[in-house]
Amino acid sequence: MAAAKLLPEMSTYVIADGCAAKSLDKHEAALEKIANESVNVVSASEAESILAECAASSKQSFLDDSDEWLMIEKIFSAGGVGRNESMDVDILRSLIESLHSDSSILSTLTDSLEASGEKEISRAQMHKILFQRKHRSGFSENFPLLILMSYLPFLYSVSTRIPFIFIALEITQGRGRK
Amino acid sequence: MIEVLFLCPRGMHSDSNHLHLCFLGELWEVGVVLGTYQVSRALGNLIVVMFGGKDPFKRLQILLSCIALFGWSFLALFGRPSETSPFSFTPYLSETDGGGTGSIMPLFALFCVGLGETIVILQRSLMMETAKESPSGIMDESLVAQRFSYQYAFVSFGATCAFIVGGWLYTTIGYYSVCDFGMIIQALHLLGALVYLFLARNGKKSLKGDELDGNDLIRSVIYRFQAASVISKYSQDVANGTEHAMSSESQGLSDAAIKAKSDRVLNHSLGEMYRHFFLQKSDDVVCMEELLNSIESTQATGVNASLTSKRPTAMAIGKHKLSKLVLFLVKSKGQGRLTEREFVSFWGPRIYLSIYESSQEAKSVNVIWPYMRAVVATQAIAALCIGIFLSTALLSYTQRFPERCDAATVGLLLGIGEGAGVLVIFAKSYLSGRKYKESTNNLLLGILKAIVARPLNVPFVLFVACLCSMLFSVDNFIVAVTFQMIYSAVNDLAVSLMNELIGTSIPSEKFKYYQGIGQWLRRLGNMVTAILGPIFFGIDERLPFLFFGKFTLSPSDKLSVSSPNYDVLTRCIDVARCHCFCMGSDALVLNVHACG
Repeated sequence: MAAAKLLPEMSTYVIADGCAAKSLDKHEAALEKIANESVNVVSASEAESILAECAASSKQSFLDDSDEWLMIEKIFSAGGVGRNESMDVDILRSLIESLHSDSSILSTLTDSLEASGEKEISRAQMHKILFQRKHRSGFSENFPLLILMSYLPFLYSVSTRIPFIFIALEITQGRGRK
Repeated sequence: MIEVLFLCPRGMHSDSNHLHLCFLGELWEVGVVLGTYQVSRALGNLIVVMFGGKDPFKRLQILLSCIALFGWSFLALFGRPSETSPFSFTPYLSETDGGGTGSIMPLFALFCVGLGETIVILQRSLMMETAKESPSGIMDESLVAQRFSYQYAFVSFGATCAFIVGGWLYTTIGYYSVCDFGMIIQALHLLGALVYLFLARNGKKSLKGDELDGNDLIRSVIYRFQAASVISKYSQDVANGTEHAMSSESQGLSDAAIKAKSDRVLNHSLGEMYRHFFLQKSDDVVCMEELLNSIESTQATGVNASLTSKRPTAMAIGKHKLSKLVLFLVKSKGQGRLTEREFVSFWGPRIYLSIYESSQEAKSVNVIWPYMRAVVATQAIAALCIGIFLSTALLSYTQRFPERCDAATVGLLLGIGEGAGVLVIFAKSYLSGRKYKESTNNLLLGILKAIVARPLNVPFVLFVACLCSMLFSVDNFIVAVTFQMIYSAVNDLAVSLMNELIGTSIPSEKFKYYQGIGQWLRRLGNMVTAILGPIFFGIDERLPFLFFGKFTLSPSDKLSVSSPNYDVLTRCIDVARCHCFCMGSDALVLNVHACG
């Protein structure tokens, strides 16, 4: 009920084939009772497809990376900035300084603000500064990744798998035991 | 049986019974050597987990690579006949044990080779390297998952090459050429590790010395802001009268205390705050005053600060007295200095409650479903099947089909199987990204769809793997090869599917623990099969594959019965949480209706 008040558009689904009733009568009685409480009774496979749709739609939501946006919202609300407004860079800087935190996120933000020379910063700009991925370009930047992703795993695997292809024969047929 | 072996001189077998006893003894030795090797691989993992620290590559990779190189060098040089020089790769006629005594002792140097089990280090380094691409050092999880799959593909490709080249070298040249090959490979590995270390040292950015990483860093910042707000509100309440502060305490503080205690990030943030303010000066009251002043200045920084009323604090007491009062309430003992523990345990529950105040029910849904524990255990049991193939497939092929199989042929067959495994994983990644037209009327298609979907695909693939393991024991070369190929192809898929299932259905903070337990159990399973495989093979050639195939089949059956509905329910809760968040509701009361 509390959830229905908070989220009036919420739909409730009950998975019928997840029933723990020990007899068919009890199962049907349970379904009847549930049906009276305006909920939808679905099978596990139907629930699966509903979930797939939900997952697809929530991926499009801008709150996909929820913690990232929540943090930005906290910073802006601590600075007393309303929705869709930008924050003064000086206010942000003193806000960060007053936290006395050695978090790498906050130091990255301070460094970027100093380098950019901007007077104001929006939520989207802050997200970009903190979280937008920098793509590697050129061989020299990709080389460490190549070593870790292909070269070392390949050689590690060769080295640790070789014993399985000769030890049993070496003991039973090699070493002068043929 | 070992005693019988020692009483039986090489080449002096008088009758078939005696010969059989000798063979049984040799199988025991195979079990002991391979078991030792698997134990050392498990130990390698354990060393990385226990002593690897934040950056295990810097700390352990070179050391473990050197130990593995020493192992291969020892195997390649100890008792080496003079007619074959290192890296000559030419056939030789001498006995391979430096005297023809048949001693297996030098083979225990494989223990050092096994310590080179460093895949966990490579995975961790790949995560750190990916994190460097983010300005704030937070890795993109989907990108890491994609890179892990490429890394895993190269591991499988390495296994393919190891089986094919190793088998061919052993058959055409001999034991020392395989050890030479191992030495070259390990030396190249060491060289690559040194190059990477050099590049990482000269890289433009490395991870900061923070105790936290990933999403924890973000949460830590959120907690710092929340802490400031909670401490400020509490001190205002105290300024209005301590009885007011006590009565305004929210209900559920004791529940929150339990949860706050286990929140590593919250404890880290508060600990950092304590250390900054309370370790600088010797007087706690001055320190507390400084903390309150700092929070006040933070709030005064806000653009709307001028609008907030200062009346309550101004009316009640001065800042020094307020600090004394707050300190009195925070301290659990009257005398002595305020400790970090007191500070954290006082503010932790209040901050936790202020963030999750109305979502206590949602938090309590954070459960590990019983079938997920079964999946973790199944990881270990499934390792029995692959373990039995690793330890006994070579013996099985060469003993059952001696006219058709030598090490080179077996290596080729196992290598092709591993290659098929890589292709199956790539095909699965490709097909899972495609959408198909709905045709719900087709019953057969519906059944197939249900089998291919999560989580039913895990027991299904395991069922196929177990069946292949058992059918491999059929005394027909074509049948054995067919089922070995199918087994190799689906084995990697089963491991990958179980990782995916655990990764997505267990709360992230519990993932490391359960995955760690699963990996440790896997190694234990490998060790058991390394020892028992050859011994069972000595009893009956079909026994190891039939026994471990059937043993693995039973838990996968139970998993298939229990998993689907629990999994759907778990995902319902996840999606409901996600939707409530998207709709901007902090006050989430989540009711989960389960029929019956």
